[in-house]
Amino acid sequence: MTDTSIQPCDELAVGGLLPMFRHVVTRTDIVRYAGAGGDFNPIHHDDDYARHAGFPSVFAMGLMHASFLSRVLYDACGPLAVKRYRIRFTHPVFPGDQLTGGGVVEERRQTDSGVLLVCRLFMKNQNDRDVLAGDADLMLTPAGTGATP
Amino acid sequence: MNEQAAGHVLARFEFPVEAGKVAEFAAAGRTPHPLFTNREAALGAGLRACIAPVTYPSTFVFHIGADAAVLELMKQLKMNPARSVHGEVQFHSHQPIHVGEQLQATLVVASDEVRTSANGVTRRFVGLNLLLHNQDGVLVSTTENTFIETLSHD
Repeated sequence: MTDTSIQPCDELAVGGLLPMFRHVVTRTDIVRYAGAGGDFNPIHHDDDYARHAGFPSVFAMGLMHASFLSRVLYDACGPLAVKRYRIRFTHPVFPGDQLTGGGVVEERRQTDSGVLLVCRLFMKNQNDRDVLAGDADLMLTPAGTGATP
Repeated sequence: MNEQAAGHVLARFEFPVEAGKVAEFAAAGRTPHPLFTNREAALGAGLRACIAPVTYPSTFVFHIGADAAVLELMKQLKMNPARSVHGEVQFHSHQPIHVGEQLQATLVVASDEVRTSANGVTRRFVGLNLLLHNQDGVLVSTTENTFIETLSHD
């Protein structure tokens, strides 16, 4: 789920917050993303295999929650605004983890192409541990961003 | 361990962008934006078709022609999968990727270097870039991946 109190994209200034994303990860999420994304490493769907590798259970492929976190960009400014999206995978995500993701505008400047927002992104688990860290460039152009009105 | 030369092309392949696959990927990534799934919404936004999420290029593994594509790539790179992790990924969207496009994909080694940290751990960092060009030869997306293999502990 995401927050419904979304600040209009073109009003986002330095320090402005992107809408939050919250979700409790299920095994179904992981299996669904494996099928959609094509990562069939058994460490993500076979508990015995994962335990043998030293993990308490299966865990999610990082690109799954990287996709989850990208939602804060789409909800803020629409898909067409997203020009760059970088993620570092910092900690495994397990079934049952409660994820909270969001972002903050760190820079806003006019360019030849439009207004550029540089955002810092985060995603944490229920223990306040970072599972992802990243940043993104959003470009607001006169032609629009695909933001949902 | 054999380091690969930067610029070495690992694979070239076709990457068709299908409506059903884009919708499935958007749902699995919990990004149900109408521009990904609703043709009318896309046309209304001035697009010629639905578009793909910025992370969609990560589905390239379906098109590379190997059942276990990532493991196969690691084998080509002479990396040990049991000691390797996906450390970072950066997606650049140069132009929207539209449903119906037949993209040309190139997977290339961007960098390959070994570093030893101050605490004596030696790691290999392999940069792997995915370039997607459209039918007109225009670069529409670049994905920069960093894979990290731990080689030794002191």
